[in-house]
Amino acid sequence: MNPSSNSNQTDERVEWIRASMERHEAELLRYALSLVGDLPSAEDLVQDAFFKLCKQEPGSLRGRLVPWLFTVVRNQAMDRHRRESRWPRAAESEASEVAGNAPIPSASVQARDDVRNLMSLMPSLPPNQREVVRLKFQNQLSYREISQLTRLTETNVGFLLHTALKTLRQRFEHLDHRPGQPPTSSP
Amino acid sequence: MKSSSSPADWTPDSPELTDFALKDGPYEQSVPGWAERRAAAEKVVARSAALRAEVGEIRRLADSVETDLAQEEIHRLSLDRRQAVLAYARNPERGLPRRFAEGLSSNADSPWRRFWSVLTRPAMGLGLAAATALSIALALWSPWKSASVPAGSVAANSTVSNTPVRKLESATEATNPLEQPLGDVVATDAVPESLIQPEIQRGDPPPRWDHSGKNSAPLGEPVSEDVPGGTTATLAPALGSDLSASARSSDVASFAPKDSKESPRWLGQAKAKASPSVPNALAAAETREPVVSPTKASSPRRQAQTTREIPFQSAATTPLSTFPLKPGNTSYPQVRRAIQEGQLPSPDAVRLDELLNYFSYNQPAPAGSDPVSAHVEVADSPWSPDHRLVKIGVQARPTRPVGRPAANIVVLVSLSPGSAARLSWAQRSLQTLFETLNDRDSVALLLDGPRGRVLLPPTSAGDQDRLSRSLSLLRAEGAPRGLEGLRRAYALAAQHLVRDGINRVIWILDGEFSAEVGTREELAALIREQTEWGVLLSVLGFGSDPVADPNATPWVPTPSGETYASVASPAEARAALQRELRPDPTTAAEDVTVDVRFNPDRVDRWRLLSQENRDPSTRRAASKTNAAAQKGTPMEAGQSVTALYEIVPNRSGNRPESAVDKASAAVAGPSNDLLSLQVGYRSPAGGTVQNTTTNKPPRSLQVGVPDVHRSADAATADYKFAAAVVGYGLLLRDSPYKGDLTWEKVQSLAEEGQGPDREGYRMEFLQLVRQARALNDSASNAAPPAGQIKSRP
Repeated sequence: MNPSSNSNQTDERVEWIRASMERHEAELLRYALSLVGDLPSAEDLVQDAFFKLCKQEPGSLRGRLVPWLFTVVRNQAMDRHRRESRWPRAAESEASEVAGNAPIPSASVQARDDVRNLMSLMPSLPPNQREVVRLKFQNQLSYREISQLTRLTETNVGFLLHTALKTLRQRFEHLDHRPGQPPTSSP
Repeated sequence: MKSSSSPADWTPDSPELTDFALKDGPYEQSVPGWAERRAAAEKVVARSAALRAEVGEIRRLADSVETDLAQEEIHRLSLDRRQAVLAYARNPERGLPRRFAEGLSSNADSPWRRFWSVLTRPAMGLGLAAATALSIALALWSPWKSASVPAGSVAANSTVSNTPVRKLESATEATNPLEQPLGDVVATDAVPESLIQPEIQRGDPPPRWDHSGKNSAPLGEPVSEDVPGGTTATLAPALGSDLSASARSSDVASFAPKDSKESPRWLGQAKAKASPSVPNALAAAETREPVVSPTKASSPRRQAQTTREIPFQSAATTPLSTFPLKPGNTSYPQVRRAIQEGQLPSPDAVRLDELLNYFSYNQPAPAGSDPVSAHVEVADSPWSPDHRLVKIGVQARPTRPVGRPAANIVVLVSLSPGSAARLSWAQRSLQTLFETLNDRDSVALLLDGPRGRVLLPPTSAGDQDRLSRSLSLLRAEGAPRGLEGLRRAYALAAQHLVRDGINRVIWILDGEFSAEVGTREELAALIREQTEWGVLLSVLGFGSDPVADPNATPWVPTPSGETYASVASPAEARAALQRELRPDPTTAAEDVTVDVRFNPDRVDRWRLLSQENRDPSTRRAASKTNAAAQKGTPMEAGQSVTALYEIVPNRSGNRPESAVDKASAAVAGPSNDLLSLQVGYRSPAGGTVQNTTTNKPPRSLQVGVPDVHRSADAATADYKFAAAVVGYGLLLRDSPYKGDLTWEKVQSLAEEGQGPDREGYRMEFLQLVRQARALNDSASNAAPPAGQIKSRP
């Protein structure tokens, strides 16, 4: 980056960063939280992603900012887990259940009211399915974006979703709930 | 397992059916050949009941999962973190902020931090090289590698992605993405090219909409809400038009931009679209005058009047008239409320031009390239049959419905329990709103309350079934959290921001809502910030009436950029919601002036049915409006204005004597004309206002209006209705100009003038006429209160 960039360019970058934070921090935080399980760490990851974004030229990521940010967050989460030796995603360890379970604070409030909420079944999914479900249905990423992010093939992403939905449905039906009626609680 | 079976081979268990149901993977719109693929699959699915049922199940489940995931709490970065990022953005060369470098991890010696210190050291090359080398080395045994390969059943399906990666300049470049689990290098500097998806809009730079020309709306004028079928029109007066009212509400004034020139460009749009308004200001404005007169006796009421109607003028000495293009919009709701409460409104609250313009009339749209049209109808005055009543309408070209940009709507519902009726209004009016949306639009529905939840995550409005289902989940849970709810609503809106589109949070609440005092500043800051980002807020107070019960006024800070409407009936709720979807106002014509020139040969005297004296604050606004009318004001697309003139025809046949009169008579054209109407305007060039006014020559429409002697009974329904509305005003004001007008006459005019009345406003008016008539009958039988007798001069 050119240190002599004039103030216009600086303003442009600051605006760009500000706008990007405004628009994406919430979804990134949710995602980061689902990866690391505690809010301060998630905030670290997201803030970190935006620090990195500052190094980019405004406009250079046009059209791919969202996958870029998710990729950065994910890679850093991976790195963090690996370095701190608590990245248990491959093994279905107890720790992963905790990590996967933790980042649903408000939903867990709901879940307390309605244990048959679909969300309460999420932790029973393998982490890779959970992540794909989240990226697809919470962050509205396409198979292609998810595959780029997770480095799975698109077919694989589709298969994970298929399996996850199927599992959720079976367990949900087991709970005597029809998926056709969203499990919302009435006052 | 088949990697991609043909639809003909599908069973309900086929994974491909999920792709199809979710319209993703090979069926996603950006994939070449998706349409053919989808069509082929649809045929197959349509033939099989089992597949159809399965697709339905998958979609319903996906909806449920999406809805449930949307319940998760929404967090934002803390202020200091944001500031740190912005400070770094200003000078990335300076290195990362100290706090971040130190505080990244609670463990000061963590590899996390060490990694960062490497990354942020000026000798980036070396650091990166080391980090990358390390990452590659670690990747070889990283458990992540296996994580990226789905275990068990999926393994057969997983292949190593050979996604092309942009070439790294670093010598430590990694070539296989799978071998870069560390990811920092790849992620930061070499996102795979395949990530480039131009159609991903949300990744675009921040919206800086150029609402060129929107700043042109004069701040000082009341803004008329030109909604087809009338409008709730209970928006507070524009900031500039009612400084006294706004100033009384300190909450309000502090949010207004100090100088409109300093406002960001988007603010202009907001100002033009909806005057900076606040419930508080609304309350202040509406209580500015004694709304309800304690007395029912006729003469004291007249004595109490401070707003005099414009008297008759001589056409010989004053042949020229004009009227404001944007009358105020507060009078009708005041009158309605008083009547509905069983009291006659104060004469001062009854403003003829505002009543008249509360309703919309079927004025022909401009023909050809003209941006404005004028329409005149003449008949005998219903209350003075010797007089003529002239209805003049000026209509700007309508907004093209196809031109509506995509909308991103988030509805936040904060209703108190026990308001089942309001809840049902909300459901019905939202249903109507949703039905007008299409698959370009996105809708989210959020329920505020102790168990506040997302009932519908941002969803394409093409999925109407789902939208309807979400509405059925709406509940009035009470104890809305306000700040929290609104924050979530904004966050949902931010997820689907549409550039150059309508981004709007619609907040439905009732009189029970009151933000906790402690959160007000935060609420205000949030709204201000979001408005700045282009997400506008509309607050609809369902069933709330700030005037009737000031304590029940929902406290909502409203910096300019949002609308507030008090909604008192289901029809109003629907109209108010529809209004939010109005495209950004576009200027149909600049510098619009209206000149009505009476022909002294045919007109003895004339008067505009309006009032001239108001209290000081509104007088200021009125004089501004008049000045603006002389100079010309812009008209927004779809805007219309209606005026009524009462004319005393010149039956003597005397020709004007003075030089002025001769000149005016000459200009008035053929002497058979009652009057001539000239509407001057400039066509907007599509550029800035300044450009248009200098570049485009002024043009004008001229309409000669011949005198017509016909009974009002033979007039159009619109004419009769307009006469009924103004006649209603004359009776409520106990006007000296009411002639032989009776309540019975007003009622029959209103009945005959109903027309199609799609929104039910004219029917409501008819109700008001009946109620007022009954009130008046009972009042005239009652003795005037003693206090009023004393006040007589």
